[in-house]
Amino acid sequence: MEIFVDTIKSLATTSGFAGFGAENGWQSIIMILLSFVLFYLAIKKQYEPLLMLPIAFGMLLTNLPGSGLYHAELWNPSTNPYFAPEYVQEGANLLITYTKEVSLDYGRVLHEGGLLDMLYLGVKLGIYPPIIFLGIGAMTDFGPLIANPKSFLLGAAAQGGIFFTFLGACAINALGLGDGFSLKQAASIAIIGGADGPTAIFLTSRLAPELLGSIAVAAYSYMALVPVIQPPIMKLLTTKKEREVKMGQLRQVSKLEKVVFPIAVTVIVSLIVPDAASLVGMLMLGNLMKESGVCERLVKTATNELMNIITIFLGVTVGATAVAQNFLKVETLLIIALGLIAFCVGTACGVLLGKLMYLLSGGKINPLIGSAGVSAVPMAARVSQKVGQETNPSNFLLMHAMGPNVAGVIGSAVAAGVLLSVLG
Amino acid sequence: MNIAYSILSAAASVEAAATAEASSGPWKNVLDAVQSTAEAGSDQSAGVIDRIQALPDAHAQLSDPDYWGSVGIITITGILVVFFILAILIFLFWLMGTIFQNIDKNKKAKAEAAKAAVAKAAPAPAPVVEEVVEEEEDNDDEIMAVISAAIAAYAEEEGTAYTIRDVKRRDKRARSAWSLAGIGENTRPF
Repeated sequence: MEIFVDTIKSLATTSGFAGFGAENGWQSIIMILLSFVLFYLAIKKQYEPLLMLPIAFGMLLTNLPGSGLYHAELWNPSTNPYFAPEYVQEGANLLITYTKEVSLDYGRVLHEGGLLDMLYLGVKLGIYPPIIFLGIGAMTDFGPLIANPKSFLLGAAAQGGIFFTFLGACAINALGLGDGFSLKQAASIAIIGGADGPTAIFLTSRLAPELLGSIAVAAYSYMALVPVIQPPIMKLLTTKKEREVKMGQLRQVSKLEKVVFPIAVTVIVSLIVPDAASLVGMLMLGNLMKESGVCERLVKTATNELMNIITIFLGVTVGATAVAQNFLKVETLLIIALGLIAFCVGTACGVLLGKLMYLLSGGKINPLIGSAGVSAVPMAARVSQKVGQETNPSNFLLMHAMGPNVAGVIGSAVAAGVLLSVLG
Repeated sequence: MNIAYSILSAAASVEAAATAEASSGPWKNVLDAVQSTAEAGSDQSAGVIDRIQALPDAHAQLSDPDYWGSVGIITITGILVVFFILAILIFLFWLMGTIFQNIDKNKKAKAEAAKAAVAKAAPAPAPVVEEVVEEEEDNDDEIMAVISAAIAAYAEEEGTAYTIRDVKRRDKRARSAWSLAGIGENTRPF
């Protein structure tokens, strides 16, 4: 009889329900409920479901106590440090010095990690985001950008949202709300303004991995909300006359130009900002494979199976980093607010430069395409098209807006490289 | 000789005095500082950012006197580098675009001449198709004539009129549709 009671007792104490009763266990309940909210947003409202659903499920799995799928302490250099030995020969003695590097003991991760820990290696080692960029490059047509290189300027201007948000995040420190943001954390929050999921995850996993869950949730939510956020700002900053501008036909781009483009961009960007090389390089590899026309089966895989596999792994592991103690803080609310500011300022900067180009070109460029520099491909371009059509039903801005849109992808990768090289 | 010697020795002593003064005395510190700064180079500003980042938490970083300076530098550097790189890319692709457009213009001029020849050959009847036995790869006019005659015959059958706008030679190295189909058949997995 006693054995039976003991068995039940031990089952009860090791169950997840006991985990709720532990210290701060109630926070896990809140996170689980939050994951349910994200399920609703992903399934019913269809906010970027391809990523939101795995993120939400990762958040659910990680916050079920005792599940052992993800261990946050394995990924924190202060709780899982790596001591690198140095060997110095001094006469007959060998002196071994252990230096505490700001690095992780991956051996321990492999020994003690759960399923999501293993999959998270792909994020931590910077593998998944560049491979997603490979797929994106294989799906992207840079023709409109090559036909009108000035679109690069609009792609660059929209990245102003990133740097404005960086200032904002640092300024929030002065307000004394919560713990404040270190420079690295501020940069990770700022990259939300790039409107590029893989770039944001790439930079955040390097600079501020503790914020990965909140930044990813904020980034993908706002990307889904681009059609809601952008039009008011675009209408506020432009006059009706400017919105009515019809832009001329884009010239035809030859195959040779489309093949030279990815190679040239890779060489130039990687030489100037080597930290952006993995993102931009993979983006351009995908594009080169597509444009060369000789790697059809590789392109087919990159755009379908590979993208889907990596998206699943990336989504679920990024969601898994949203453990209660990292997520339920004032900082998360601040991140959500700053993310919104990032998107709004990015849109505004793009439109304002579009206005300047309108003036300088004598009314030939429609400022609405400037907002497409926010690199949410192709959503932002479609928004430009829609707002343009509202003013002038015969206006077809989509292809013109694709130029800044894809330039923004390159621009946000370059911005991430710059932030990584200065702060990393 | 004597004047030259005295001038040279005067110059030498002035130089000796100058260097002696430089390697000791109040100027020594200045020269050392200049030299070490030159060696450190641009690491000065990077050193500041690293120092700020080494501070344990956000509030400690905020109270560092160089904080706002560094934040400003990072922001401005970031924006400038992004614009700079994209400006290089703009210039490069604008250049590439103009070069290719010039090449295309030359090609179009040739195509126009070929089209004029085709327009004359168009009214020829259907039997033209069986005419050419030994096809010379370089004889564009005949090929054009064959193509336009075939299209004209097809158009007659259908009842609509077709206009030839552009005739482009496909890459010779590429396989024809027939051989591609053959390869596909033979390599289709079972």
